[in-house]
Amino acid sequence: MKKIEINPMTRLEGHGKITIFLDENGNVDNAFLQTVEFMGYEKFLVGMPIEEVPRTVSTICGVCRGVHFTASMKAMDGVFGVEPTPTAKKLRELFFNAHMVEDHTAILYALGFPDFVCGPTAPPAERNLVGLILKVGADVGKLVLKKRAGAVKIFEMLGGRPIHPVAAIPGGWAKAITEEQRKEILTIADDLIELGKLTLDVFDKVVLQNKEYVDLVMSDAYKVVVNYLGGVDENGKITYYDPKDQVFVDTKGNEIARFRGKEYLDHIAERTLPWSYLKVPYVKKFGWKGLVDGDGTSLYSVGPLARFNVAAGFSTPLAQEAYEKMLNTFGSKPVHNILAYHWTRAIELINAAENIKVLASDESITDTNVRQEITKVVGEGVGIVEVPRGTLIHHYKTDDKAIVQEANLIVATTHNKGAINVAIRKAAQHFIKGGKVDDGIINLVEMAYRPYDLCFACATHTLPGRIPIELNIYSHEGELIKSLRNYEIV
Amino acid sequence: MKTIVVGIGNPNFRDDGVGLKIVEHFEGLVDTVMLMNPDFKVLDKILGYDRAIIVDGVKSGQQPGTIVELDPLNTFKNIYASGTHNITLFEVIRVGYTLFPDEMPKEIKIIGVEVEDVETLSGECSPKVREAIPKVVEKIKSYLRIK
Repeated sequence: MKKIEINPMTRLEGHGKITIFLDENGNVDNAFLQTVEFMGYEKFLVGMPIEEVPRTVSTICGVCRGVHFTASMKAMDGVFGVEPTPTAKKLRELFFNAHMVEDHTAILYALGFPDFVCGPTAPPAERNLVGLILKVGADVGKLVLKKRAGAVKIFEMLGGRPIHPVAAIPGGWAKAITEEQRKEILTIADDLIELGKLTLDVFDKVVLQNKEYVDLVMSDAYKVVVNYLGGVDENGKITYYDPKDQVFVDTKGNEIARFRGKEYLDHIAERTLPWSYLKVPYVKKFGWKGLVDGDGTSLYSVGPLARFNVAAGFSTPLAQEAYEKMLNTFGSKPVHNILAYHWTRAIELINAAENIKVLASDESITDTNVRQEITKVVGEGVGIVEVPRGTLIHHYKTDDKAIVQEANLIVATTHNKGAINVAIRKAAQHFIKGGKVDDGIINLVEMAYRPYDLCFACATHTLPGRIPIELNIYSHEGELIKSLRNYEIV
Repeated sequence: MKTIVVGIGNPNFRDDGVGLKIVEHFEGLVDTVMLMNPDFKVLDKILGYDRAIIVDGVKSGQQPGTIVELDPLNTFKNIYASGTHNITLFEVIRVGYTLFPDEMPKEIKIIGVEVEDVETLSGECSPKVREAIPKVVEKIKSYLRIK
């Protein structure tokens, strides 16, 4: 059996390793993604006052700095048995939606679009951010980065520091905003909505108006039939900061479970696989069915496409319009075509921008009542947030002085682990035939995990930069026949 | 000359925080900023400056504490991260010069300190890396002509 591996370049950087086994005919027999567990944060947090947890976990990842911060902040509310004041809740939502815009923009333009704009089999020297800019034009690139900076400005204005946010307090937010700041945010919101329109337009022109790419999106090579998990508001619409419920739908789109807070333990089980550092979560009521997709599977996905499949649409007009266009294109839900993650990401970008406008239009957001009185320690809290990459769960137990005794973090990449494995195997089986593997084919395989935007707790980095994944190919006799990385140094 | 010193790193992973600890020495002397990773936020911070010094940990196989200087345009000239979740400092700088040639600093200096341990959860650098901190501070001060 041939063996293909995508190995981590170093243990620091992302920790991803993809192994693909070829049979004696050079076709793909199986494929696995292996990752390393979170880098010790759950243990690091034990013994820490819960009030220090949000700013500590915000250093788990420089990209995801706002999401761990927010999930743990909500869990901290639970530990003290408080709800944030209405104004604090609005500020948290504003902050979080700005983070959504920043994150989705970076992911789409730096990692999602280059495959389509520059071509899926283009060499890495062309298929990258600079290549994308050369193709779409410097004016568009300039516009995107300038407008995106507005989202970062809101994030920093509310969060308190550029490096990572510090404004979380139990049942509140560290500071109110002024009327002048509200007006500034309102102006930025218009810019971000324009960014959202531009991004949907880029997706439309580059992907939807190109038959070759539409075929790729619709291809069975990139179709993973699983269950979906996402958070919804009281109207069943997509929401991020504070979903009313988490909803599971099956492969046909039927609701199979609905839960809140600690109830996640009743619905999500984890399977430890001997070859993997990471546990694979699955739908508990279905039981473990293996790393297989299709009707009856117990694997599930989270993230923008999962939210699209779970929810009844968006609460803002432009996002809803884009949602309906996508729904019409596919004809029905759930959509199992994973390249459509990029489409849903673009729709959520404009939704988050519209949310910012709605929140900043509310003059009461400048109210100074942003703190809640703390009178007790309940000792346990769960924070669930729908973050750019999907459902994020932080669960803490503390002693009666609110010192953390236990911490459990389930991140989006963990939820998606099973589905990513299936996605890689399917793409590899589709594109690798007769032992023929080149850089273009490998990128077509890599395109199967990119929609999930893997985050392997990339908490540390050193120059020359993050190098998350390396791919090695072995013959069926165990001989290394090719080694490829998802970056290139010339 | 309008100058900014940028520190990049994670304060909780031992030597990964070395860039941040160096930047602390320049607070109040020149504009400073600390970032956790080298993404587009680097551009947000350095656009409009004449000169930018970027300080970070480096893992290049040399002795821990070794100080290296990297030319932002000619080192790793063709490094491309097409994979997941993040882009490199060098890509970001290339994008900056491509899109904002007039707003980018005319001078960018990248100073790295070879790290030893970036996996242990700790706010303190390892001894060899810690010893390098005052040397880098002096090097930057000399370059900026700060006493």
